[in-house]
Amino acid sequence: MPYKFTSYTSTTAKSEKRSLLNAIEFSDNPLKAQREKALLSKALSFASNNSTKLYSMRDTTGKLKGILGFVALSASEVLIDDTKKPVILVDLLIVNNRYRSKIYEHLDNSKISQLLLEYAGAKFYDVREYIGVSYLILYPDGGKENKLLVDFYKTMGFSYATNKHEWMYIKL
Amino acid sequence: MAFKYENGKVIQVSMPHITGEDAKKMLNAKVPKKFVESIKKKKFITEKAA
Repeated sequence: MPYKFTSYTSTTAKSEKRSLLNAIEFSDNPLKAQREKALLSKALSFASNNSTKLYSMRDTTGKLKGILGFVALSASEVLIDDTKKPVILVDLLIVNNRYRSKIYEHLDNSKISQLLLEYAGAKFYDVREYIGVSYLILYPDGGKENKLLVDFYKTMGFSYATNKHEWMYIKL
Repeated sequence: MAFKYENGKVIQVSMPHITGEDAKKMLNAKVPKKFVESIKKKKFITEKAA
């Protein structure tokens, strides 16, 4: 495969926190960059105590350097009417600013965000081998104002859970 | 747990409670074939951080 993922234990997330925080470029917009760094920092803190599982992605061909992006996943549940449904929650999905919004021919003709999300889907199915889970859900950063991001999730098959336009889900 | 950034702080967002028509829609949602096929045809490799 032209790409691979690295998983971090609570120990490695803790010991590598500083280097991982500096491993990707954030948005060119300083306010957005601050927000992205804060979210990654929080995800690293949660990964340090096993509240989320953090993964990074790299290009194994060497064409794209460094970490391409991160995805963090945890187990949770949503209440649908009176029924609790187990879900896998995408706590964080962030792409190195250098590589955003581009389709890479050598990476399965995909965007990095697409591969990170598909990886989350693959992990969902891995989990389902052992325990029941019904949905993959996420809370898009910036909410409905972040139209580009929301449109991307929609093209991947996600729908808004309610007309508040906050949580998005995909049934798997 | 999910995060959102508000007023310079990262805060946790409570998990949703879906009711009524939204609940019906979510329970009857179809599995998106394109997404699933795309996952199934890839072989993702995962290594542990040293």
